[in-house]
Amino acid sequence: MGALLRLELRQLVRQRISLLLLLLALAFCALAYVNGRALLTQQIGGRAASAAEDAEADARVVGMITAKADPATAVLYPFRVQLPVIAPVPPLVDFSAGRAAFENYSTIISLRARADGLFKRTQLENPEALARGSFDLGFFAVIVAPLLLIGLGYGLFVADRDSGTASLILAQAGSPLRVLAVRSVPRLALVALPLIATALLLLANGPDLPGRVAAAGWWLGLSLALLGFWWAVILLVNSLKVSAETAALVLVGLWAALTLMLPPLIAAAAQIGYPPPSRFDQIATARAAEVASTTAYENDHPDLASEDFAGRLASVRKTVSIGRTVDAAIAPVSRKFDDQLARQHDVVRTFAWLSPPLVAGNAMNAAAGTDVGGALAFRRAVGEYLIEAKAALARPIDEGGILSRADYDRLPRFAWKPAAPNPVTPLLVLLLLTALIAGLAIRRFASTQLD
Amino acid sequence: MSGAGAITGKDWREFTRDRRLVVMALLVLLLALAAIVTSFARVSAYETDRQATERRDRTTWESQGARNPHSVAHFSTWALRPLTPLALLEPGVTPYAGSAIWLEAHNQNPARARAVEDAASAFDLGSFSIAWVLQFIVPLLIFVIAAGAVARERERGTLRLMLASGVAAGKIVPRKALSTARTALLLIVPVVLAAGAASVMLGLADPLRLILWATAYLLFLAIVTVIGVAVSALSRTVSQAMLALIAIWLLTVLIAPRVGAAIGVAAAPVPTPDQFFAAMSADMEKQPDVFGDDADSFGAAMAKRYGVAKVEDLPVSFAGLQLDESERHGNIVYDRHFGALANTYAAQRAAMRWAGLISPLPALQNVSMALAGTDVAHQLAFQNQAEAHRRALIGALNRDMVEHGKGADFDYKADPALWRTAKDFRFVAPPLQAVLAGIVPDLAILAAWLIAALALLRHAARRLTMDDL
Repeated sequence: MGALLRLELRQLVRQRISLLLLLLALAFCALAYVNGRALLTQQIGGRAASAAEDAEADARVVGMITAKADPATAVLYPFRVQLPVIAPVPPLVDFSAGRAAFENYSTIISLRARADGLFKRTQLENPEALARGSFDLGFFAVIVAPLLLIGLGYGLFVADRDSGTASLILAQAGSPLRVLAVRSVPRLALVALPLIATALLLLANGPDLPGRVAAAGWWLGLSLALLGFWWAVILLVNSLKVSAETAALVLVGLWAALTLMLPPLIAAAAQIGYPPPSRFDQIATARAAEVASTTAYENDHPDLASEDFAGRLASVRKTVSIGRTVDAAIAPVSRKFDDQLARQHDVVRTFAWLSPPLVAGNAMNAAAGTDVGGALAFRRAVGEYLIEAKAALARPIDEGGILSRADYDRLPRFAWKPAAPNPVTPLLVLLLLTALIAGLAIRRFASTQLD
Repeated sequence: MSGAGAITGKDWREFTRDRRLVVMALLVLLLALAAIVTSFARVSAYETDRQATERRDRTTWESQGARNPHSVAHFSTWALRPLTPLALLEPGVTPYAGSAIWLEAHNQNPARARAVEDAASAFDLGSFSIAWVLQFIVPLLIFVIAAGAVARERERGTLRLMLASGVAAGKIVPRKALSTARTALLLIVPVVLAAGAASVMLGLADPLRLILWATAYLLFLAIVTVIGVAVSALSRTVSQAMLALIAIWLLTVLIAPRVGAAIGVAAAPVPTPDQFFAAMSADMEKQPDVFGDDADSFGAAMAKRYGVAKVEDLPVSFAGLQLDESERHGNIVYDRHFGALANTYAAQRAAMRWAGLISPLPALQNVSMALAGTDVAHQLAFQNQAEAHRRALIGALNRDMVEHGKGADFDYKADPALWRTAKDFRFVAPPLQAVLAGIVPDLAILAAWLIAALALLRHAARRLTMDDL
């Protein structure tokens, strides 16, 4: 077996196509590494800038509260408070960018903030760059690496049949399974090793984020399981009595269908069957509710309403009361929107099982912390924090007092932590599919020996 | 029958007899039809929703009752981005760009409500549309068809027979290219026609834009066909040709646009929202504060303008004047910062064009999005027009307060008839001339690719002459 493996390796090295594919794999991995590092740096830098700005705002508010201003000024303090919300850096954002490039990760909660406009300061990334997509290690693992495997393996056995040397090779090797094993190991290694090496390099050079190592373990497991799935498919196609050209055609067709065509088709079909809720409708409903919530809409400058404490307190209370009415009116609208969106996402998640690359891609994004579920969990957490923070900020106003330093220190702070990834089901499904297809291929190869 | 006709006829027969290719072609056609149907549903639902929302919001706006104009300016209105009928063909950047802007007093807000934020999966290979099928899937199909164009003849030994039958060696490859192009055209033209008809059904599509859009795709697919046949002629076997072409497809279709985006982002980084808004706030603080430290000097200036001794004697609302002046100062800052952001986008696009060196696709995407009205230039035009509308609306509300709010200022309530005088936001797409001027470099890149592909085909034809005779 060892001698056969060495012989196979020598032959592989002599083939220019193998070297070319190895070079391509290395170049793509290098590109993925550079892009991953750039995104990680940007994500950390962006959060640092948010934190710095929030710290400045915090210092301003603390300075203001401790300055002992006159009550007419101090009664406005709750409106000056800005509570920061910053999502933690996704543990593997440098592996799989997912939604990280456009997802909002920070905002500010104040007494004026509303559930339907939490992320007013949206990400400013160029939509053209977003539309073109990013090249990360996840893209390499899900999209590119299977194609490289197909390039290396489409003629694994059928090429020998084409050239009439199959029986000779079988006779030399002893059994077709041994031929398969000897030919599979170096080819799989050619694609998997650059992937593993790049992942380890990213892990070694990245920051020590909570859960990063465990997430990387899941991520690598999923990506290798996907490669295993594709190799099993390659083996199965090679077990058929077809020419190398047909094998290549079938494999490329399968790859295109499962990787390229099915995911957008599933998304588009779900959109028609279960349309996402309308953002426009949400905006209009919230506005109608806002107008209906008060017949005498208060102006947005309580500081201009009056010069004395009592006048300003009355104005501030009125503004808070209007805010509560608007919040109560908007709550069912937001809930309806969230429910409809969740239903649509459920449909897409269900149909995603039709495409193993989609299953793997989604699970890898989940492990990286850049998937849809993570984004929605963050938005939900911010929504809950908004209610809690606004209630705490309004308390001194309700009680007719002034926001003290102790009140300020007692204000709730956003401390959400994403749930640890647990992609056991997709991993098991991928492994099971791989085992089934590989088993079928091996059975067919075993019967080749009998023939 | 001429030599060219014979080759074309034979290739078409072989294509129709090859069940593998026929199945693949049918799948692609079905996919294209699915793209047309789903895009039609998406765009028409979006437009119906947008128009219904605008009508509903207009009713809300007009039924506000008597209010202070500045309160109304805070409530204000929204600008919703319309989709052109050609957005059915090419969604471009629209899923990634905000579709709604709040036109409130004091603030120029970025566009919100990006469809991608509500997407059900982070596995994003582009928006499913006919443009996506033509950019991603059809080139793969053409490469698969073209792989065997010459290589199969060589593999079977029929190439020598063709040469022996009197077909000039140098003409076989170009004729094979024409034959493959005909097969590709027969597959593509019905799809493009169906897509064009669907977009016309959605509304009044500009026929010239539609024709130019289809022409750009024909040019791109001609490049793909020529490269495919040239590689087939340069390969010993069909498998080798197919492998090489799939590698080319991978590089040019899947990798190059992403590499371009990475180059663009690295060359001209966009500030984070916090950096952007913090810089704008800092700049804003440098502007005169007519409600604070600079209130007295502004009051004196206004008194002088109106020829009165002091602010209290002004014949108009001083608070209204303050609001108007405050908006003017704010607008200077917004123009500077949002202008810089637009310049960053332009710098990114210039950098992204370098991907044109390894693929014609980024250039085609630029042309396709521009002609469909779904590129960044159209998005910026929407944002700029929305901002102009905001300034006009807030200005009108402030003027009303200036003219009628004397003595009452923030307690003044305007007549509800005032709200009815406000015009609705109407987006006007940039004219075709401006669109074409913006994509001249991309058209030049496509032309250069066609010339390079033809040169490769000529080289392959010459090598065929030497090697196979």
